[in-house]
Amino acid sequence: MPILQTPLDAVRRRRRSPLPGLGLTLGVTVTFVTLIVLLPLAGLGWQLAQLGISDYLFVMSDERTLAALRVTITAALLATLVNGVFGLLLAWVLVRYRFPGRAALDALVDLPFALPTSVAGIALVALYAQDGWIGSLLAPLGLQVAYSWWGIVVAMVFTSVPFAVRAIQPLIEELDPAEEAAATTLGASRWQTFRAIILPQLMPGILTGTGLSFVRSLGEFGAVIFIAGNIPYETEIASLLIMIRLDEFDYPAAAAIAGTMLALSLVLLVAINIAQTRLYRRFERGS
Amino acid sequence: MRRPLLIALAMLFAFAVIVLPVAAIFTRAFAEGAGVWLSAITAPETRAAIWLTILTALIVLPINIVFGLCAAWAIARFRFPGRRALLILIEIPFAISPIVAGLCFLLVYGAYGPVGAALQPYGLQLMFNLTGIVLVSLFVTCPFVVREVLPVLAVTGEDEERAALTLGASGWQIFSYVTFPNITWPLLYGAILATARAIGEFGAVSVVSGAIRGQTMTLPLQIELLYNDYNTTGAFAAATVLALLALVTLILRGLIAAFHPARGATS
Amino acid sequence: MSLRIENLSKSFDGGTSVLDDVSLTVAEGEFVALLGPSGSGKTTLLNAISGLLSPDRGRILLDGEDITHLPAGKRRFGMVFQSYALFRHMSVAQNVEFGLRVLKGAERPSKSARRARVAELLDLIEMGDLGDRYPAQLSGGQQQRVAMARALAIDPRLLLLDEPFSALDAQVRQTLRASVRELQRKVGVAAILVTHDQTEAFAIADRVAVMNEGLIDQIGSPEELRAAPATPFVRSFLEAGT
Repeated sequence: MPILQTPLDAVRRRRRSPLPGLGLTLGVTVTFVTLIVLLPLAGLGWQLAQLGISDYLFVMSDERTLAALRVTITAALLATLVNGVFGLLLAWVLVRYRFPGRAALDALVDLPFALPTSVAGIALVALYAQDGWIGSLLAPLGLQVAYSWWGIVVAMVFTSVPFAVRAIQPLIEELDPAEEAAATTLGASRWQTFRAIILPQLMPGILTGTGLSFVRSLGEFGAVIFIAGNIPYETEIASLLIMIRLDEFDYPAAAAIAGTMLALSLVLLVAINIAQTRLYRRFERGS
Repeated sequence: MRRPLLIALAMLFAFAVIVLPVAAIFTRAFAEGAGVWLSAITAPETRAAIWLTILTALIVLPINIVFGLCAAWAIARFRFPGRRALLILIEIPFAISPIVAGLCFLLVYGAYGPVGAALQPYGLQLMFNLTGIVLVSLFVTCPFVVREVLPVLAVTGEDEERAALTLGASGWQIFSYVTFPNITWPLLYGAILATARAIGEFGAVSVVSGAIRGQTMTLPLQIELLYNDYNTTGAFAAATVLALLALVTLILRGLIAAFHPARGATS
Repeated sequence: MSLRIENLSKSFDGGTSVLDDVSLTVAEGEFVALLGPSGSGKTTLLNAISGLLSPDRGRILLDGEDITHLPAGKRRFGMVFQSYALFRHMSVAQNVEFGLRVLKGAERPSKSARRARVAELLDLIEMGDLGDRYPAQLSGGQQQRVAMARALAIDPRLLLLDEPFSALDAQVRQTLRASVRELQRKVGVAAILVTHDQTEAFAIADRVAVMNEGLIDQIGSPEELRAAPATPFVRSFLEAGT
């Protein structure tokens, strides 16, 4: 009898909802998630486990791998910085001001989400190449964006700017204008009000927005490879190096780089999550 | 004083970073006239790529809807062990870069992967063909429908479903008469976003497509191929098709947001 | 139809029991109120009777037939929910018709028969000309009456009312209380009402069961309860309510 107790209890707990369909819907869901998400992820884990630590370190200490990671991470950092600043600006303008073209601007922000990355890629080359609208303006100044590290940054900014805007926007909507008015009556300047009253309250959004923007930039492939030039050691991003190792059938090397990228993304996402919870908690206590 | 400056700055940024690239596509595509554009998008290889892209979207869409509805129903209506883990697994594709996703599939379903190797003796090949493209497309799009439907399902209608149950309705009747009308808009919204993503996916598909000209090239891959062939007009013409689809997606999105007050999470 | 509940018990997740060996009989045409504070188990008991919740032990008998494990949809018990749970995307008439529309095969009345039945019920709740309205366009009292008509449409073998008046203001509450009782008499169906409001229970019910911590402390007519409270809890609960 005690042996049967546990499974019966488990069944009973599951059946608490009187609504039908648990078996069917959960069955479909678990099957799908296993085949489409879990198994592929396990595949990467398995490949990495077979690799062993010394082989992993060998792949990762390769000059070309290190260069690719450095190019990717530095470009993603700069792109994220740009997106943090302009994301905040766009979100602020969209929420606080009413002006002709506001609705269009709001819709435009989502365009990079909707535009396939390879389309974005060739569009950016067309724009920043020597004969492009912007490239031809920059050439006389001796600046080259297309086929350089700067091109990678531009492509990353384009594909990830919506993350920053959309994460900050709702927090600006929730700001209480009375707090700003109170600060003003207490003699704070506009800049002081922004620094002391507004910015701290927007921090959770800025953090999430820039964090997501950074993760997206790290993994961006389609938009970047058109404009990057893809010269090993200089403008070759990590995703492209994975592709190249795959074409050489060097699956272990590809898996090692991919595993590193994946771990980096997941660690960042978890960190954002934790930091965000803390920040929110602080506000709740304060209010 | 400050207001016009900030607005101008925001407009300038949006114009330079977002508008100009899209304008550049259309300018380059139509640089040699509409006739050239038309013959470029009707070239056999491009036509094949368009067809393959549509076919992929048509296969992925119904699977996404069925999976999304099942997952949302199970997670919103029942408590079971592993429920949180399931939710995280469904969201994971958003956090994984496309190339890494493609690689994962290759490692399991490719000829050297455990599943791929097991199927090979039966002449079944999953990667470097339509099946592979469909599988990775399912991976990159699987969170969309769940993510839109689940929050709506979680806050609406469980009482109504119980009422329907006491009135004698079967499971299917409860779903179609009572639940479905409440989630039509979020379902449509999620399905549109998922389809747009499936049509435009580049990185993950390029890993598993096999890149056989005129056969396993989806439209985003075909753009790269044409571009590398120095057929820029062809590449930009193909890009206009996808850019137009993106614009249509945005318009549909706006229309749905107007109809369906609780605006879905941007993704 | 008469209902008989024998030794019903229920606990959640193996923890504290919310129903502890409860027995109760409801005679044909009788109106019984389950009265108690929140957490006393009255709603759990009602859900067990409706089939929305399965008890751990005990039996539920309807005219001698064991229905303990009969699914909720097969019991043909009309239920009025606290939130009314009206289908918001259906008109009043469609709401009332629902229970007839989902019947299968030969059991399902023809369209004209269903329409006639709906019209009859709408007249009964004095909302004959509001069939095309949607729930959101109705007052709280009207919504409550629609929920009542919807429950009656399936020709229920038992009527279950879960705090049906709690969302209404005092004035409307009194009127509706009387009309619910009148409807129940007219239809001749036995009814069980869950409430935390002593005045309400005493005004509407033939017998009142006072519940406390998963037990029925005392059951009897309002006069009996007032005259001789069986436990200190019943005494203090009734005193607090007046």
